[in-house]
Amino acid sequence: MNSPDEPFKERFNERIADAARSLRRPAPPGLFERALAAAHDADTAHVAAARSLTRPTPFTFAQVMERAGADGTLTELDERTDLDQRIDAAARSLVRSAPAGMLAAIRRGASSRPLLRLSSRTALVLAASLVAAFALFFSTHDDDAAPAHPALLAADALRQSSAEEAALTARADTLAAQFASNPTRVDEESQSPLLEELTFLESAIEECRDALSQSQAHRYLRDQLKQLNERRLELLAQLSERGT
Amino acid sequence: MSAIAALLLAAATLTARQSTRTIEQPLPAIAPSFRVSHSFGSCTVQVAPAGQPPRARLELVASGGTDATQERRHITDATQERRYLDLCGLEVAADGVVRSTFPTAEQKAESISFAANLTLWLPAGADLDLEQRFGAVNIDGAFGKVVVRSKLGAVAVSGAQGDVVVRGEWGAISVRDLRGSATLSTKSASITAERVGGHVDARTRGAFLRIDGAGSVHAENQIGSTELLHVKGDAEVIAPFSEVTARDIGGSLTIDGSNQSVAVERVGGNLRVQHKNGKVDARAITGSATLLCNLTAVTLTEVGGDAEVRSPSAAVRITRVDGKTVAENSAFALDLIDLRGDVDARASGGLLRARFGQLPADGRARTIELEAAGGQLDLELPVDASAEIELVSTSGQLDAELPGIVIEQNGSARIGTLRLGSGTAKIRATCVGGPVRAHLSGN
Repeated sequence: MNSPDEPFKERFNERIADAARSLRRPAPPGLFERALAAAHDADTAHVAAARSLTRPTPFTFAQVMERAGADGTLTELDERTDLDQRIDAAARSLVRSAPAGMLAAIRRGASSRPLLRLSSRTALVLAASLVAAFALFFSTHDDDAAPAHPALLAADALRQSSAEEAALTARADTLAAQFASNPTRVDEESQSPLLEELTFLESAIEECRDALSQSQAHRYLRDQLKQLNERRLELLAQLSERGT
Repeated sequence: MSAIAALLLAAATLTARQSTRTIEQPLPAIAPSFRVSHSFGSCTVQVAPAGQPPRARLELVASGGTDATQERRHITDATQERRYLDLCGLEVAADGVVRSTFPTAEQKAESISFAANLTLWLPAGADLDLEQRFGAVNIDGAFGKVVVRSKLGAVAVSGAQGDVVVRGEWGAISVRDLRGSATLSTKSASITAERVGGHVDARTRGAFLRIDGAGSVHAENQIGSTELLHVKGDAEVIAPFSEVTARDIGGSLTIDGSNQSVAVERVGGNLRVQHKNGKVDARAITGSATLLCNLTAVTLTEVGGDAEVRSPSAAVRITRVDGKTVAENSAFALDLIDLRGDVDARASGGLLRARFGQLPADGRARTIELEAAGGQLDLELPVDASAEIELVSTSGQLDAELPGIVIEQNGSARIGTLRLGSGTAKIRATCVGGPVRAHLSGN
């Protein structure tokens, strides 16, 4: 049974023969035989290696021929002196370009090793790619679904806490302004401890805010600040009530 | 496999909202005392399990490397957080000094938030001196002397065998099951002490103060409410603007300067209350009771010793006093019910009512002086009374429903005299400028 590559080989041989016949001087004895044999051997080896791949070889037969410089341009080689060496080199390069043993080894490795047993370099490349993908994902997605450490407020809780604090402070400041501007306000004995307490409380709120400036999402400090603000509001309400 | 582990670690770092780091250090086993300094997180102290050396563990968490207020988390967050956490530390010295350390403000990205929880496992019996800022303290175990100084954090101590001192500022203080004494003070936070074997000295300004179970107590509270329960020995309360409740006080109880209500029940020793305005309700006093008030409505019930109650411009009601009773008020009712000893009562401008279930209650000679000025006087006697009675109304308004009474007119005044039984008790009831009514019980 003829090989499917036979037509190519025949064409190749014919072209070499034509090139040789066109030479002005007779070809050295044995040249045709050697060139033919080398080309044939290279061709056979390459085709075998190509067939051994589990995926198509990157080289077509025509490309191999072209690389060998045997695609019909040998007619131009007649002005060169060492056609024999060129043909020989072309044949050797063909052998090197498609080493059958290496391709076979690759094929064996690819078919027998699991994906996770790739080389460490390949694994690192894959890991880096995945990390980059993670980073891209988390830089563009809200992370509210991720678990939060109980000691720190998550972004949404922090926003809520800040809003509550602002509201409490605003209400308390309004009461404080009303109380301060009340002309009927008298510093009775019963109000004195409340006013003193209010002063203490406001200094505590400042201390708490100072501490929070170093760690704004600190849950415990946020809770403390809320309690202090609520206490301040309560005291001011008592003072306003007594002042009216 | 290492590549896979690295991959999983990287994924975990990025899926968590915060970065964490834990530092664990052994502590010197032979140190008799430990001095601990910590901030920005809770501090928990426990007894090291048997066979295990003392140690300390600092758990750190940081978040928000780029912007903690934003919704998105960047890969650079984790880097910033890790860099910050790497600068935190836990210092342990051979003499028992333990200190958590944090980078300076300049070393921290402004947007980073962090917290640090410290846990200590110490040998039982060791003394502990702890300074804490911005976090709760929880000490539980049979340690020796415990001293805690805390700012903006609640403090809880239980099980200590030595004396406990807690000086807080703005966090609640709670101690329980202490063998020694407890000295507790805050600027303005609640204090709770339960089952303290020794003396409790508790001082706060404007929050709830509760002591349930103590050897003896000194408590000060400005405007918060104060509650004392089950005190074996003496108790003293200074509460100028604070409600006070005291029950089951084994020794004497002194309450000074309250403008709010005072409720006292079951005092083993003497009771002394100085009060300005409000209400005092005291009952079951084994010793004597002295209530010196101003505008305070007083109810005093069951006193084993003498009773002295002075409360101008307020109603006073005194029931069952075994010893001598001295009472004084004005403008409001002065009720004297079942008094068993001598009585010296004066009311001005109000109603003085005296009612006796037995007279004399103990069969001994008693002297009862009742005087109402500008008001009226109402006297109720038991049918089996043994007393010599003299009733005087300077305005002549004498209404005596007593069989056998002799009434004389002296100018505008009317004077009634009567001897009941053997006349053991001496009663003299005078109303200046007002009526006197006397009758037997049931009439």
